[in-house]
Amino acid sequence: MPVVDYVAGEYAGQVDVIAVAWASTHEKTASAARGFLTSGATRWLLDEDNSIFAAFEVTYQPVGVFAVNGVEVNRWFGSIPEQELRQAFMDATA
Amino acid sequence: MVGAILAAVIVLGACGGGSDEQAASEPAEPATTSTAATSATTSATTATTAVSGTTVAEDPPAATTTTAAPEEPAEAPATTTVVETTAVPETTQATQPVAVPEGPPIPALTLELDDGTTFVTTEATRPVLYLFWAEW
Repeated sequence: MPVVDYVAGEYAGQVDVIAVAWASTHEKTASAARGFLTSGATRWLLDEDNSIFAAFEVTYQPVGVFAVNGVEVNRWFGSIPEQELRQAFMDATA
Repeated sequence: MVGAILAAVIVLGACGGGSDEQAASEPAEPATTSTAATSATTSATTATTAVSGTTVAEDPPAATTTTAAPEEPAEAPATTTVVETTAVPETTQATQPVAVPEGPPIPALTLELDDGTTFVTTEATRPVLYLFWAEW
């Protein structure tokens, strides 16, 4: 999460980053977001009933989904190296 | 002697009556001639007018033709300009659909973010990274 948020800060204004948190209490999720999401470029929400996870067919985390023009163009599961993450940002904004 | 004079008077009288009739008919001849001359003059005037009318009538069409000629060339360049202007955008638009990405569509959702804003997945104007995570 910290690396994703760091790269998201570099692409602020070019890419919207939405962090969808698995069901939990709002207090615990907000506390974790304050620790991980420090760039200000990543916005987040709590998926209280996991309906957003289900709509994207995500059954576990972390998972990243890149969308361009309303179409999913890239998806990865688990943690990925920073270089691959940067490549995903570059491909999405090319 | 007196008889001779009377005879002469009678003869003169007879001649004078004839000259009255001739005098009455004589003016008619000049009048006819005058009328004919007037008619000839009138005809000549009419002919002159007719000729003049033809000449005048020929000039305006020439002027009209001269005026119409510049209008046709003026329209042709305008049409050419429109075609050239239209051709450029069509070529540009034809190349844009090539950039449309392929893949499954993103679910249409309205997300209420923690900062109080709303994000509609189908109305995004730039690339979006959806990051699914958990606080634990």
